[in-house]
Amino acid sequence: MSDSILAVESLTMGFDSKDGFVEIVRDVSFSVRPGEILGIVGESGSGKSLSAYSIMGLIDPPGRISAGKIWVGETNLLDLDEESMRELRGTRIAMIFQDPMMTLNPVLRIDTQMIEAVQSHFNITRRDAIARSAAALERVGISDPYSRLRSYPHELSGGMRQRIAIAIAVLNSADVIIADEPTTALDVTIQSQILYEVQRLCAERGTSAVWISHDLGVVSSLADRVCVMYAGQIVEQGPTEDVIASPRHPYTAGLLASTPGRGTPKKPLSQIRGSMPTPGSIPSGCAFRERCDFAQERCLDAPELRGATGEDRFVRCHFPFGENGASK
Amino acid sequence: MTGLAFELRNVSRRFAIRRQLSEHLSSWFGYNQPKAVHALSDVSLKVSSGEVLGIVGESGCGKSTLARIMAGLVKPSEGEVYFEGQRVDELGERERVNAMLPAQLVFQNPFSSLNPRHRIRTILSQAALLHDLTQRNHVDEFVSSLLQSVGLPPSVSTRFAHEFSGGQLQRISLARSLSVSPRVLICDEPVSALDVSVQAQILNLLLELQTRQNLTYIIISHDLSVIRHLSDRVAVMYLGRVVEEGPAAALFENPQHPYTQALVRESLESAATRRLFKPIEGEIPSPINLPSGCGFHPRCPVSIDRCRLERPELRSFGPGRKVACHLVEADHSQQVTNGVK
Repeated sequence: MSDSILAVESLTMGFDSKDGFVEIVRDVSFSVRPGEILGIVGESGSGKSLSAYSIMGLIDPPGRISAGKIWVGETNLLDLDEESMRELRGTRIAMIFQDPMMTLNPVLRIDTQMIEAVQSHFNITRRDAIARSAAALERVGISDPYSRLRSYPHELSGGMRQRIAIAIAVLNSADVIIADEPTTALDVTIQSQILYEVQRLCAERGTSAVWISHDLGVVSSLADRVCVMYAGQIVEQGPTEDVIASPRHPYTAGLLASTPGRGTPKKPLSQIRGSMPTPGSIPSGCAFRERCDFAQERCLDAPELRGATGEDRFVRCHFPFGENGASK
Repeated sequence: MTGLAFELRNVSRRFAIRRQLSEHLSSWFGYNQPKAVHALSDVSLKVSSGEVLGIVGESGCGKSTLARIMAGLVKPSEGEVYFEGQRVDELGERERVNAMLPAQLVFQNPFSSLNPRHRIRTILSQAALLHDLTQRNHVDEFVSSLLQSVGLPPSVSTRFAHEFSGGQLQRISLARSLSVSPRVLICDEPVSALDVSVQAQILNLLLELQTRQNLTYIIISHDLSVIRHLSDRVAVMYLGRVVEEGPAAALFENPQHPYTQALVRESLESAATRRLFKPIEGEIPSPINLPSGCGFHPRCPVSIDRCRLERPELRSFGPGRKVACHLVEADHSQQVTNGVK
C-alpha cells in the first residue's frame, strides 16, 4: 500500500434502475506508483470512464458505489464528505476530461478560472496566483501565457483548450492526474503535441497519471503499465510492453490483432465477432465467453483475476495464452 | 468507358462567411475583401475504376468537402468534375441525381444517418423503389439479399434503427448505399464512430464487398492505419490542397512531404513500445486567412525562405508519385548532381 500513490480496491459501482442495481464497474482493483503512467484500455461501455469518475467522487444518483475502497495515501476517499473531497481535488488528484469545455467555463476568461482554482486551495494574492497560472501554462508548452490568460475559451483552438485544461490540472501540483480520453477529439499532430507535454510533465515533476483511452496505440506508447477492461472488469494487467508483445487474454489478443495498422494491407483483419454486451445482459461466467474462440465448458464459471508467480502480470481467463499448461 | 471513375480538374470550393454591417460598409468603400473559408483549393485527382483511393488529412483540410463534391452534394466554386467521363458539376438537379446514382456516399455516423422512424425494410427499399430498381412485390427478397450481402440476417428487416449496435448500423448504412447498385462508394470516415473490435468487422466487410462487386472506393479518413489498410493509392491533404499523392505502399514507406513524414511518424497504431513523442509544432492555420506560399511552412521543420514566398506545385516525383514541396525537388536534383560528381 505504501509504495502506491493511488490504490483502487475491489471497486464496484452501478446504477439503481427499475430492474434493480445494474453493475457497470465490477470488482476493479489497480494501483499507481509515484511517477508512473497507468493506462486503462477498453471499448465504450467497458466501465473505464466510470471508474475514473468514481475516483474523483463524481458519481451522482442513480449512480452509486456499492463496494470497494479508493486509497490516496492513507485516506479512503469513500469515507470523505464532500467538503474534504473538494480539498483533495486539485491538490492530490486532478482530472482531465475528453472535452476541455467540461473543465472550462465558456463565459469566464482563462485567468479568472485559473486564479479561482489556485485561491480556493491556497491563501495567496491575485498577483501570485496569476504568476503561478502563467508558469503552469508555460509548462504545457503555451507560448505567450499572459496574453492567453486574457482570452476566453472560445477564442482558442481545441488543442490549446486541452493544454489549458491540463495546466489547470497540474496547477496545484496534484500527485495523480486522471485523464479520460483527453486526445480522442484532437488531430494526430495536435495529439502528439499533447502526449509530448504530458510525458515531459510526468518525467520532470514525478507526477503519476491514469490514462484512460480506447486507443491501444496511445496507451502503448505512453503508459508504463496497462489494464485492459472488458464489460466492467479488468481482464488483463501488466507492464505495457509485455502485454502488447504477448497478450494472455483472448480479448486483448483479439483487440491487438484487429488493429488495422498491424495487419497486412488489403488482407482481412482478424476480428472479434459480436459486440460488447450491455450492462445488465452480461453473460454468466466469463463475460467474454460468447465472443471467445477458445471458450470451453469451464468458462461458464467466472474466472478470477490471477497472477503468474514471479511476474507483475494478471489475467482473468481459465485458458490464458503463453503460460505453462495453457490450452494454446 | 474511359476506365476513369472520377476525374477532378482544378476543383476549388469556398464558403462565404456572413458579414457584419461594418464589414459590408468597408467593402463598399473598397477597404475589405469579402471573407471566405477556402475549403478546397485547386484540387485535381483521378480515380480509376476498381481502385481504392484513400484521402487522409486532419480536420479542416477539406477532405469531407471533397467527398461531398464527388457525391454531388456540394457544387465546386471553380473547376470541373467528371464522373465516368461525363461532366456532372454543371448538370441540373434531376439529371445529376440520375447521372450520379452509381456513386453513393456512406456517412460517418450511422446513428444519425438512418431515419429512426422507419423500419430497416423501408430504409433499404425506398431508394431502389424510387429509381425503379425493384418492384413493390419483390421488396422482401430484395431487402433480404441486401442484408445478407452485409452479413445480417433477413429477419432484422422489420426492426428500427435504435435496436442495433453501431457496427450493425454501419452495415445497414452500407446496405442502403448498395441498394441502388452503385459502382463507386465514397466513404467519409466509415469506421471512426465505431469501437476497435467492431472497426475490423466493417473494414473486412468493405474489402469483401469490393472484391465481390468490383467496386471503386474513395475512402476518407483522418486515421492513417485505416487508409493504409484499404487503399491502393493515397492522397494526403493539408489546408485544402493535395500535398502528396502516390501508391499506398510507397507513400507510407518513404513519405516525401514533411507533413506526410510527420503524420506517418506520429500516427500511433503500429507502435508497440513506449517512446518519446516528437511533435511538429504549431496548429493548423485557419482556412480563412491562408498562409502565403506553402500552406505548411509555418509549421514545417525544414522550411526555407522560398516556402514563404512561393507556393510549391504538385509535381511528379518517381513512379506514380506526386509531391508539393520545394525541398523535395532540391533534394532530388542535389542527389543527381552528387551522383554525377
